[in-house]
Amino acid sequence: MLMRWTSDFDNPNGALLGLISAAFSIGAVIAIPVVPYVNDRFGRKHSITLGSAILLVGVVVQTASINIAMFLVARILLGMGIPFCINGASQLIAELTYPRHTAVLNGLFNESWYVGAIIAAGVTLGTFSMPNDWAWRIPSLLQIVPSLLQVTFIWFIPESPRWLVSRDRSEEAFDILVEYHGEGDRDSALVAAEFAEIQATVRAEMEGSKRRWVELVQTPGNRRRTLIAACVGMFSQWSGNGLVS
Amino acid sequence: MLNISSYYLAKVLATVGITDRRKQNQINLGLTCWNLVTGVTGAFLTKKLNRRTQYMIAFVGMTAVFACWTGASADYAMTKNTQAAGAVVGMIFVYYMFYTIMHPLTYVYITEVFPFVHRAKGVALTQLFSRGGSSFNQ
Repeated sequence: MLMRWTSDFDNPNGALLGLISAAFSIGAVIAIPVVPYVNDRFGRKHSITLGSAILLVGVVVQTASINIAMFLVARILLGMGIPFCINGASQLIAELTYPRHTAVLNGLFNESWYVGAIIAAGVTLGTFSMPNDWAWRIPSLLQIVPSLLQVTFIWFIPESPRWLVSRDRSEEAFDILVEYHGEGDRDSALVAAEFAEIQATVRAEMEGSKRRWVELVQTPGNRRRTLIAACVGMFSQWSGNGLVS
Repeated sequence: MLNISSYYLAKVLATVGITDRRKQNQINLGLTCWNLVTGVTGAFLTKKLNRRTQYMIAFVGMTAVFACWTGASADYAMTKNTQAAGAVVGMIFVYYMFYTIMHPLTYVYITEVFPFVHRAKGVALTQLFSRGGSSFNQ
């Protein structure tokens, strides 16, 4: 913990520090039940837009913090924004990218965490000896850069074709597939096959589902998927990564 | 964000006599860069390996290395042998190599396992359990 931050906030005690570090998770737990709704209703892209907008507010509040309450609220906001971004982005990559590259790209997406960690470590190393409150306000403010890039450039990237089909916007989905998977060829065999597969599966899945949470435990296949989702989440955290995060 | 050297890494390094803050920060930064290199390699491994094989290699490797790490750490505790301390630091790096073979798979695997209609909820569940898991760590 930064010395300067600690003294600026009157040396908060252990319980308060625990609350501040938990605030991020509290924010995430508040947001997560709403995240799938936003994703399915407004799209993968705008889940990212909303998440980034929440992050922008969080960063401003954190950087401008004049007391511990403001800092705490900021941490909760930051915790709320992230799940919208990750949920939207991982699905956008899964549903939009060229099928042969999807796994590698979604893998690289998760590894980009370390790029941020390296930059954050470098910045903090550079500012922590500053004699004033900029020692922590500068690293805090710089967190705004990725979210600003997101809200600026999200408008220039295509939406998930699968999501568009699910919202009865098949023509837009076809155009995106032609441009990004068929190199502009409207008669591309790959695009025709992909488009037919997407329409058939999305239609069949939508007819067989009301998209309610309870469906995740109603069939043996879905129970197994739910167990996998829980284990993948838990064991990615319970395997010693606390050392570096 | 406020941690230069992670709290836990600092404690682990302190158990093998590395208490100098500058040294701890250097090891932490080195480890993060190492994680990026091995993690990117792990992302490309998805082309060669199927998902369960990749998970198995990661978890078997982590278990084996953790056993050696514990052994070297115990050796240092009994003998104060600096070579044992060096071995612990080396073991941390190898451990994280195996961890980052698995790390890129999280969203790859979960978006593949769930069909379109439930995908957003599936990813949200993973996020919930991942948050729950990390709160438990604290």
